[in-house]
Amino acid sequence: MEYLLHILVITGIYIILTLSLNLVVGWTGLPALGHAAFSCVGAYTSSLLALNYGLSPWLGLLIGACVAGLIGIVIGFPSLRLKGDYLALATFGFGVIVYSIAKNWVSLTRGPMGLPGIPQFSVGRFQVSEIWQYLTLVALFVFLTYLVIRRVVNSPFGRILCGIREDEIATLVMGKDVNRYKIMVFVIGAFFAGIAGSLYAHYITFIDPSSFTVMESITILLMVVFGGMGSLAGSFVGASILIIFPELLRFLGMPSSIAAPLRQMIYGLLLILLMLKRPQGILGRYRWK
Amino acid sequence: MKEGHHFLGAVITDVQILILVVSGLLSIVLWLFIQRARLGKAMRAVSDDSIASSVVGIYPEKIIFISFAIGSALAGAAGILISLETNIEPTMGMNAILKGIIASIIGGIGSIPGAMFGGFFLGIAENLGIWKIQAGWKDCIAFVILIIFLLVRPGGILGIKTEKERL
Repeated sequence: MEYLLHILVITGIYIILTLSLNLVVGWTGLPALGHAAFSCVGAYTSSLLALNYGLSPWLGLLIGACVAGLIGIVIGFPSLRLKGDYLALATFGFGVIVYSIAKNWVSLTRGPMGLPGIPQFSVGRFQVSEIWQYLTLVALFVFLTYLVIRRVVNSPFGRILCGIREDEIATLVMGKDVNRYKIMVFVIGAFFAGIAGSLYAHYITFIDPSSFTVMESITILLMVVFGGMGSLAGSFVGASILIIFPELLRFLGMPSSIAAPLRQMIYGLLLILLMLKRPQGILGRYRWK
Repeated sequence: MKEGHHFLGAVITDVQILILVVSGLLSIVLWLFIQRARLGKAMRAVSDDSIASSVVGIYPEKIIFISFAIGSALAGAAGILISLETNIEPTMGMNAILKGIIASIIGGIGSIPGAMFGGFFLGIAENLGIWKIQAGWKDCIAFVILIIFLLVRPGGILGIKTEKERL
């Protein structure tokens, strides 16, 4: 039961990440590969504030998300000049840079040793330590993220984002400041990624740079593409399947010597099959150009 | 292994000379192939405009298959050369491919001399960088260089001019 709830909490955190990346990748059509870097910034900011200054995790969560949003401006900047593969590569590069800062700035982040003993959330004297309480908290944040992202994409703002995705020059001709919208969308995405990172840090109570590698960004992008780009429900489906499915493969009853590699192989094969049969993702309407 | 040769105060082993010679040779052959051979010309045509090239009787699918095969064979050769010098592991390709992409962007995409130049530039910049700061920052240096190049000179040092228009 404990295990099941743990998986659900992790799924919830990934749903937040997937929803926010979907805003950047699915709706605005900017291939960004640095999403784990934002959650890294959020996680480290709120944990360091809590550990060094005894700040409440709630405040840390907010500050962490805001700092991630600020970094979003920096990472969003190349998107004004670069397109397609080059933008993917530049954001990938930012992901690597943030990762190596977290790993090498030992005096601040303790580097590969990580930060142990991060305090958990608490309301008054009541500590959110039971796993089901945490699940409720994460579910609340997932719901909030869903509401905000839904509000964003179903507004005139969201229509401009779709316009940037479909035809940037046409949107520009309509008199929309495309650059401003691109930066804003990066900031919103980064803000929610920061929240997800902070939630993760205060849940696991230990973070180290290896949780925020660029592979993690690729996994999140995979969830977006798998569930469907430009689809809110798709983000839920994509994140849930890609987290829960590998766990289900655990119960196939294979001998342990071949179970782990076989799991990876089945997982990879399914991804290839899905991309061949349904390149727009399970619930997506928009296809990668 | 034998002791290396002394060359301008540095030590270089037979294996390292072999690696240098083979990689230089392969690069020259590849460059000649792309510039001169019919198949190489067809590849450049497909990369320029696949529809127009199919009009003049080139099968873009076939060319793409062949270029994938040649590229993979060269990557295999690179892997063999690396394995002569260092130990190997299943995930060793990831780093090489990233550095390869960075080097080809620095040098200029679509230019083989550019790719060689970019590779040397990146390798030297990385290793001079960690001479002064810790070795952990190596990847960071590479990607900072990449981002600077993408923003300031996206066509690379020796890149073709049209690349700038595409970006």
